[in-house]
Amino acid sequence: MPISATRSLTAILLALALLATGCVSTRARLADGVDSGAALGRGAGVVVIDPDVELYTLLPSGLSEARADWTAQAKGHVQRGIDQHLAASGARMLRLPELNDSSASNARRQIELLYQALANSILSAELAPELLPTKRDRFDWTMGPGVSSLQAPEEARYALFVLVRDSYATAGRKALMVLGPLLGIGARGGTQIGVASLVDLRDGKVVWFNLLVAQRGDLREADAANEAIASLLTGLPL
Amino acid sequence: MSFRLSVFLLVLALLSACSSNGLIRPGPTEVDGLSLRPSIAWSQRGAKGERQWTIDGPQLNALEIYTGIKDGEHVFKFDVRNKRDEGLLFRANMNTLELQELIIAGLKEAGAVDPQSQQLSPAKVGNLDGFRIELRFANAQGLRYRALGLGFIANDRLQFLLYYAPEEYYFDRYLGEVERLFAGVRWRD
Amino acid sequence: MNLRIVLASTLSALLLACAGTPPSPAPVNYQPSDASTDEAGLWAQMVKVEQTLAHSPARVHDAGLEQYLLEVSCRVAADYCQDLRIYLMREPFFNAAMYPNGVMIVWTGLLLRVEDEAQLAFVLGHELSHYRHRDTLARWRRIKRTESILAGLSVAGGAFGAGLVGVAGAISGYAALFAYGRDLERRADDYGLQRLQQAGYDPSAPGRLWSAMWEEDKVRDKELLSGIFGTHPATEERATELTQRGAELPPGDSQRERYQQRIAPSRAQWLDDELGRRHYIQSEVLLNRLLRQPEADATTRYALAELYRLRASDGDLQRARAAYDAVLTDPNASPNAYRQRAQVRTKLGDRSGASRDYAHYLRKVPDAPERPVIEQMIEQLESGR
Repeated sequence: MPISATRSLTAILLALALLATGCVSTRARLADGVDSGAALGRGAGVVVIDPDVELYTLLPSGLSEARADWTAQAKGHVQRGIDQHLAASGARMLRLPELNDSSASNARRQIELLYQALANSILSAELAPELLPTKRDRFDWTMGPGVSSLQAPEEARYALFVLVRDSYATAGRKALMVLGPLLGIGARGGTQIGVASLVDLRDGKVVWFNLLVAQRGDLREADAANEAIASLLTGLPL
Repeated sequence: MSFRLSVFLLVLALLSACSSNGLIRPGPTEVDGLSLRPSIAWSQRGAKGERQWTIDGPQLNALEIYTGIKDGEHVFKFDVRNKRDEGLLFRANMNTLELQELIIAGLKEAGAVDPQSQQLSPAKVGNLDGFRIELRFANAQGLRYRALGLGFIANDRLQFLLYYAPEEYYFDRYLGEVERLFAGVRWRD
Repeated sequence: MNLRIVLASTLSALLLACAGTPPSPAPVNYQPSDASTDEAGLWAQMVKVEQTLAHSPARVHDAGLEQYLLEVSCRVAADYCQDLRIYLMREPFFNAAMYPNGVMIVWTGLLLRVEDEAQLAFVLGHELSHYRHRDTLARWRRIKRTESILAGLSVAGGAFGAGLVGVAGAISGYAALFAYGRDLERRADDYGLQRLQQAGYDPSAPGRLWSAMWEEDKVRDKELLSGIFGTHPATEERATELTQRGAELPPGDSQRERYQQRIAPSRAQWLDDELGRRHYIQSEVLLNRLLRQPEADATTRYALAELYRLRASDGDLQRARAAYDAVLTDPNASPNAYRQRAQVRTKLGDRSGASRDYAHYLRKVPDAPERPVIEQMIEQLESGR
């Protein structure tokens, strides 16, 4: 049965968090037939889809609490980080225009939702490849030509989707993290997760994909955010 | 149980493959009494009587194969917790209209939003009388799905195949393959 | 003001004070200015929730109906009217909820059960109290203080969509935020009655509504966590209290006709959704009440026939048969009644009657999606198979 896309993304991301060993690890994939030195973006327009960023506080009780200010800060840094990285590559950065027509909005929404399902599926294939032998030894994911329903500007050749989740411990929780093992209680600190995809707007193919899991780096700080984005977008073939 | 622990167990479940996971290669194959002839490769997981085939992952395409659903059993073989679940249980004397109702109720319970039947028609599975059903629904976020089902009753038990995929691009992508599959499916008896 | 009300309010206020300093009532057009507060964090999540609601497949896209709900809300909201945004969700639950950012959600199960505009206005006024007094924030703070690990309440990563629109709308995700406790509920009832009065509505409305809801909730299958009432379970006590207080207030308008006119076109679909809960014992109480109302028509009688057919307990097939017969005496009856009666007749052994009914159905609905199946069934009935 088609489980909720958002719920499964959360589950997968948190599973990654649990399995992360404390260093920064990335896993980048290039579509079959695309060269890592491809420089696809020489002059090409890239529509940067609004980054999906969320930052949380981890409370001693184990609850997470969304922090609007942290999220706003991090989102700003992430956006700037992406812009800087793309500027260095020579790609022209664009944004999706607002749509006034409701049927156009609905069509765009279906594509955004399809992207979620697609990203989940790529993550599943990366995490548990034995469950998807049909995707073994290949990276041929696509959203189909209906990606044009995003209604990106004419000059846009690619779309970049970025998702970031991160959580930070409160002082109380930090105490638990230090004392916890002594008392036999486990308590993880926060984990940073980033997922990035570059999609070809002519046919909907995912040209490039990267997954970042890290245990350090504070996205509320510009430097750390830049570093995280740099790691996440390393190898972006623009 | 803490949320994190339950997620970790979910991952374990994903990773610790059920014994019958694997690659289904093109060509004739037998699945729990059904003979099928896929013309492309599928990934399979699940257990006897409730299999799920997929190519790109179940959120992008899924073919669910239920066999041997007996009188009083849940249409998708979920555990029955409650006498209120009567409307989700298969009964051997159900007519096709009731089977349609059953499938829609089952989809709704599984989380599909506003499942609706577009078409219901008789279908043959070899010499056996069955039915074919076309459906639409959305997932909780609103991603629209289409579905195509084929079912028949043999030995008082329901055998039922259901293909579903997002309406956007994916449903049509493998529809031809599924139509061929459905046309060629046979029951062992 | 009645002494009992004064005492009750004072007591509530004292009890609230013991629970820690409650947030002060929100001024009109409120938005948290300090982004570092927990309120701002909750607000940011609410903004995301609103986006999910706006796009939810369960949302009823009926601008006229949402507009009507907004008008009624504004009559009881006065100054707060400009803060409000209404979302109508198609789920068979008797519920309404208001978020701290002005979002009001109303479920179709509520509209199916409410009889007049005064009853609706009371419910909306009650929810406005929670908004005005920032009860959601107080509740969030209380939840946060507990040391135990609360697995159900996770705001990490957005389970909102599934939580709000699914059956779990009453249980998982944010539902815990809306279980305010008796004191806040009583204060909200006070507020609702006050607003009802000020807007000129009939004060007997809340008592009538909650008495009817109690009749329904009384028969709930106790295995179920929440039935249809989500975070506001019906109690006899509440029904009695509201009835008494209503009797002490001057009369007003129920606006029954206006309300009934607005919801009549949707009733068939909402009744179908209600039967989809498969909680027939409750649905039967509801349907019998709706059938006693002046607006009862073929649509409601059809729903009762369907209930018998679906429940299929001893004697239900005969009841269903008789009920469809009654429906079909009405020229406005849905042609589906022929198809459904045909199924029941088949089970009762009346093959020729069933065949005639199926044929009648196909004549009335030439483009029926199940035509090929029904044609085959007619053939089988005729040939004696």
